[in-house]
Amino acid sequence: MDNLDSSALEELLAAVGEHLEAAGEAVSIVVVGGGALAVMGWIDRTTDDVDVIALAREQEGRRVLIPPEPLPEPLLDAVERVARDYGLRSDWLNTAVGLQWLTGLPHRFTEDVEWRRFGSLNVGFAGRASIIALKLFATVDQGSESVHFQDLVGLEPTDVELDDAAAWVSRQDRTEHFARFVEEEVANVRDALGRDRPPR
Amino acid sequence: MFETRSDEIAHLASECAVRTCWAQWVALGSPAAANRARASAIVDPEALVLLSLCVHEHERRLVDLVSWWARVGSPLTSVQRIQSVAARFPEDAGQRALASFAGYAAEAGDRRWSRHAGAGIATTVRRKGQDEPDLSKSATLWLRLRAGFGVGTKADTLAFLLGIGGAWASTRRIAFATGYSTVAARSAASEMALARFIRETSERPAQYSAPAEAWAAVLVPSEAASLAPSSAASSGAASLPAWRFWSEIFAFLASVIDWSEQARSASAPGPHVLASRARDLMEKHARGFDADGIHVPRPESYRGLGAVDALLETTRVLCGWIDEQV
Repeated sequence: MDNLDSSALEELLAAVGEHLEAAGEAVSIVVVGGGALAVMGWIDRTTDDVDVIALAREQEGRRVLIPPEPLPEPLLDAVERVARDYGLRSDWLNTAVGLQWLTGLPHRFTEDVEWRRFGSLNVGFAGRASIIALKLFATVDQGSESVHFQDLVGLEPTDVELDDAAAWVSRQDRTEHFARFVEEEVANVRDALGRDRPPR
Repeated sequence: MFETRSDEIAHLASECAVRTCWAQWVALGSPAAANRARASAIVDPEALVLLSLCVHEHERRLVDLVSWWARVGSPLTSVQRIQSVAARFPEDAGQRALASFAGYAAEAGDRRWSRHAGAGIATTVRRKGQDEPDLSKSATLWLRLRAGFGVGTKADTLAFLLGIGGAWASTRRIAFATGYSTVAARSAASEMALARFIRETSERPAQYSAPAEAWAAVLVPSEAASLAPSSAASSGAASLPAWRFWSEIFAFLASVIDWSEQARSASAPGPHVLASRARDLMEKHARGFDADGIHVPRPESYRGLGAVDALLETTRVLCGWIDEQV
């Protein structure tokens, strides 16, 4: 699988949008993860897939987010065609992160989305606060050696952003040891950023 | 850049298609094409009719040749096979060409075609020119076999087996070459083997071969015999014309022309869609290229929009091959 940088990702999304347009269809998705970081220019890195966390539908003049499974058939067809055309694996755009809906999305996630149009594909990129929250959650899950920790440090969150993210992540699992893991990872991020740990 | 490439592809494919059609019509004794280069490989009548009508906007006179053929050659043209060959062409263009030819043939009095006649390319059947096709040229082998044995799977199978110079072929390969079903090809081949017209291997699945030297003694046309009587009698297989998978190749050329017209139309889809459709064409016809041993670029070596470069190179290679092999 190729490492996709921001321009490669934008080309792939444009290709999907063109295929949807040719099929007379339109789809709106919301993207998180390395793809969102790269396209938004927050971190200069590559990724190997596009994580779709939600679909969006127009309802009474506003966008409403819903879980991404199942992805609409026209989108799956377009994604498969682009996978063939670019020699990518078939799940280069996937909904694995959609499981997050089981425990809830970060606070104000829906409002914190920046939309961009790629032909008939509308792509919402999760906002900075949401990305920080999700990256902290993933760091707690996978540890300080993971790419998520590196992303989190690369985002250089402020103390306020880290505290907000930690408050949301702590609610994902009510066990005592989980809260301790969250505190430890927040401290690790602060260490990596060269900041003092706040007094306990 | 994209437009330049699609224009170049359109130009290459249409010029090649027109040139090839003329060469094959000359081999059939067309009255309007006497001074042009003549085909020497076996002419595929159904593929020739369809391609000629698909490129009529690039060479209007090809419609006249088809209408002439409808008058003199429709009894030697297969109603069944032209439908399966048309299915390999771009859908609209193939069906329109089929309906046009059927209309001309019906107008000329061959009622077998009436059912397929429809709105097509307007013309009237030419009443001028010879009243029967000239089957003296070696490239007309297929039509000679049909004239001799009747239009059907057996004559077509024999034409293919002779055209591959005595090599062995499976029923699957015979079916791919002739456009009939595998079942029909197997039935025809096994009955001809029973009649000792062709040979059959004992292992299964069976393979078939036509003894080219023996058939050449009967089939080598007088033209070749008078030019080189000793070599025609002794060289056998070498005297028979070669088979080329024209139905696949002509369908590809028609598809490329159709693709380039899409690319230039006012309602053209975006470049990613066009590139993806270019890739579809190369993948769809890869088996035909392989069957003829044509070494075209592998589309998977070209990512994304690069498929248009692959199509350009494929068209270039193919047209060079056709000019050598026609």
